[in-house]
Amino acid sequence: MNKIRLIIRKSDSVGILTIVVFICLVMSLLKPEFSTFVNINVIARSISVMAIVALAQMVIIGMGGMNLSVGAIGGLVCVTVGALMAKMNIPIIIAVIAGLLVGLLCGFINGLLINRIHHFTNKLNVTSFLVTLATGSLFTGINLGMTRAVPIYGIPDSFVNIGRITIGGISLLVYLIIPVVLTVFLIMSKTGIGRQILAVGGNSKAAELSGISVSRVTIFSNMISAVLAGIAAIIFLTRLGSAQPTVGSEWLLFSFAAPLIGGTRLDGGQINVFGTVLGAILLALVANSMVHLQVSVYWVTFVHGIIILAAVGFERIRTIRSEERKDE
Amino acid sequence: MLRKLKKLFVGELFGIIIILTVIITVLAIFGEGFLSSYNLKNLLKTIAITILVGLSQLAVLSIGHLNLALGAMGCLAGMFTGYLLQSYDLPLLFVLLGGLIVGGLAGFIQGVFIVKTQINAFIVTLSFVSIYMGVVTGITKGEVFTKQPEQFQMIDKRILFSGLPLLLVISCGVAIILSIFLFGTVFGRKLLSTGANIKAAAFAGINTTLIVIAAHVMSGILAGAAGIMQISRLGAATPTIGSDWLLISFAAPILGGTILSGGKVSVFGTILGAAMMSIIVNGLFLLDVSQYWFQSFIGGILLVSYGIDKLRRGYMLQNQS
Repeated sequence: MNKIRLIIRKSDSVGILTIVVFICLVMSLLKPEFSTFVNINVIARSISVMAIVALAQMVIIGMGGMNLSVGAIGGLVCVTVGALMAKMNIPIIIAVIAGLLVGLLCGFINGLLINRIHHFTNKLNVTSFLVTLATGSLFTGINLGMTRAVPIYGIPDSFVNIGRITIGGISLLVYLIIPVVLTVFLIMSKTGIGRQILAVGGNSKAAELSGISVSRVTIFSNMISAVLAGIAAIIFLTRLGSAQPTVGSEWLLFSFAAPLIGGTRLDGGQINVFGTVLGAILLALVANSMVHLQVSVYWVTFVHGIIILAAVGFERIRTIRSEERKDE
Repeated sequence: MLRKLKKLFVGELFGIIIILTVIITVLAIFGEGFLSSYNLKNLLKTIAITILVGLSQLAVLSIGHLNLALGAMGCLAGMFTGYLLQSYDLPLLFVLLGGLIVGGLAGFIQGVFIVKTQINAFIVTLSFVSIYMGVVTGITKGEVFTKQPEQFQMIDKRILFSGLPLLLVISCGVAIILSIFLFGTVFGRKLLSTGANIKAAAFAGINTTLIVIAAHVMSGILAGAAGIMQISRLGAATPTIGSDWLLISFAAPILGGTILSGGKVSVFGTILGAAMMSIIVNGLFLLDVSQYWFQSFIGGILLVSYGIDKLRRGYMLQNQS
């Protein structure tokens, strides 16, 4: 029985992997520009940011909540690091650390507020929805208030050049994802706190009764999520060359789409790290392919929406089928 | 005596009315131009639109769902109306109905999808934002419709009773109708029951499928109405309509006493919440606060309202024992 379960779970990722490979093959045949190094780099650089954004959301979904402020935190960290480097000439390392601390602080605020406002009659995801909706606005407001919507230029060349280094033709930034993904995977699957996060996501009342401090888990998971959003923002900054206050404003949909496509359950308790990354790759591929296929930019948004619905729909079919199998 | 006073205080609306009075007084004293007829006129029109946006969200909050796509629905309805006004010479009533039907249709599709696939309303409505906005921009390709016949523009400009904008009268009228519907009709009661506990409602014989779809249709129609009002106010139909509705659509009901857990709904509270939000933003503007800080204020106010609500509920629990 366990073997069958393992195969089903592995098959989640196999499905997406097949689609990803399929798209790559078809597109390279249809449009030769698709498989050039330049294009691969474009896709890869997009993934290097968005995969981490997806992981940021995945952690919170795993806890049974939602983080609507990922984009806002990303934007805030981006302008903070940018401002420190450009306006105050602070060394890169320190600026980056400061940015990550800002992220941690935002995540801490989120977790704290969720704990304070959570009422036992509500579900955890309702509370986290409400709180992060408000804090997202708060963080964006602080971001815009400080920058007055003016991008920050003058990022030191040494920082921007990090984004230009290539190893084997592929940007260094892409390779940066690997340690991040692995770290998240290890935390969520091997450490105690990771298991606690998933336990709370599965059934927060049961988790509380078995001695897990839901409030501590809430704070911790929100801090992880916020730091990941911050890392994504910093990587984006190296790519961009200037700190735009609008960074993160488009992250919301994607941050849910990629994990859900990758097999993370929205109810919480079950995540799939590699599936999330695959989901991010899939979405990036689709967006890129549509550009090559000269689909009007306007319809790209439409297609994104359809994909998410399709992905979640398939996941529901999978869940229903696996539940039927359990009954057998 | 003290007990009775405390009970009044716990009555949510009392609290908001007090706060609202305080804010208005402060602004009347310190805000330059707050009481000018120009400012008040604009403020009341803004409140009118905010009310509809809040009611649109309220419609689905009442069954325990949320509608993230109401901005997109408003945009769809608004752009469609704008298109009709620009390209054809139709009776005004037709055009307005057309816009509302588009909104209702958008809600219908969404509602059916939610019910048939049983997928979480959050994900579905989040996806439909992209879908509907994609449809709008894909069809119009970013075009803006600016031709509006005099009659349509009068919707925005008409002032009744030497002071009340027509827009506000319409919104309040809609709110009253919605109130009567929710609390006075059988169908409305069924809606609220479904919101309180969907399984119990189903067991009691309520056709929950129909209810869910109806709630989303209502939300769509209300969003459409808000969109039509918005294009009348702007004088043009642009795809940016509805883009900033999400936050206020939640803020208005929540400030007014509704909570996401469903079952408890306050139409009048939503009106007060909408008024409070718009007045605060107006006040910030008049007090020369940089517009870039507005969002953080709204977020902050929202957080404060959650805190107040938590205190309220704790208080009520205490009093029950």
